[in-house]
Amino acid sequence: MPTIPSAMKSAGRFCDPLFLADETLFRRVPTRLWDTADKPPIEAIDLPDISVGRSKYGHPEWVRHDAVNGKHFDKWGVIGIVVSAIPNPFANNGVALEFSCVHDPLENDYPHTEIRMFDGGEHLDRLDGISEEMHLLWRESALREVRILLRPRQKCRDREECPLSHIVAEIPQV
Amino acid sequence: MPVFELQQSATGQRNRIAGLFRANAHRHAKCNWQSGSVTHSISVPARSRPKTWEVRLTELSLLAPGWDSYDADPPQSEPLAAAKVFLACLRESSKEPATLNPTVVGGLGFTFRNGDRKAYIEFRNTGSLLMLLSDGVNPSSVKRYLKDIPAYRDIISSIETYLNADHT
Repeated sequence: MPTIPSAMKSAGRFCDPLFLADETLFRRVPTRLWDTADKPPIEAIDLPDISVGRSKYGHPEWVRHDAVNGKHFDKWGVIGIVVSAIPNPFANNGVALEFSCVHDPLENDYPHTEIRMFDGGEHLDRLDGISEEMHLLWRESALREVRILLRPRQKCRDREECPLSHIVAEIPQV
Repeated sequence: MPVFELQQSATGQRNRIAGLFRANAHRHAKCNWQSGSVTHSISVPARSRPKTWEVRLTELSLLAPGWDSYDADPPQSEPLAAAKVFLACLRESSKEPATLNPTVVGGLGFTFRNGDRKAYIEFRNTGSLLMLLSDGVNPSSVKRYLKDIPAYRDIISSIETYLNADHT
């Protein structure tokens, strides 16, 4: 198993609450869900409190590392969504939800971020906070904005250094 | 390969395969969910693989908590059982989904497609059953259903209507 790139570790760095509109957020998708050339499926879109990586401090391939459990998923696809493309606010049947990106660094995963959901300023971290119809509609809206960054089984070597820019660079080939 | 197939002449095999394709084309003439796609014309008839989707359901029943490496719950027994009945209704109508997947929000989903149009049926661990219709461009719609055979038949009818509607 490849080791976690040293630049991925927090190493005493503080959290950075500033997210630029064109920053990209990354998430890995299991091959049992997405293992084809097609688009990722809606079953892969989570809500609420979506764990992601962020392009300001990490590369797409870094989210193939599960820093919490010490695993690496070298065949899983990686999808991304630009901050400004997150359906936010999202209104349905008189209810308006807001979403916010919260940098939540972990010891071995400094880029770790959560997309959190709010209703009237209250953080909703459970599914029972909103109607299931609205929940599904938001996931479909988010899916439309998702970009494919690494396809399932696409080979890629880990970059060791931090990104030079929050704009996602070309994926290095093996 | 079975022995009897090995013993067939090349011409016999070609005729047999051609017959399968004709039968398949006939089936889809009645069930035109994916008309126009190349894969459609060479797909295996649903009745020839009756156990495929049930096997997939069994696979989903074996998932562990956190199967997505985050914190997804595996599909619970209740949505799995309901999905099995839904599969039986699909088979009764000679339909089959494009995919059957677990969902990271807890539960499982069937997806049916025709071009850009998608009908997505989600059996949730909460006990709910929802159908989403989407063409990827226009606003999507979501409808909640009961989990019984009349509702499943209604869903199947709605899927067919939506996927085969005029795209212009």
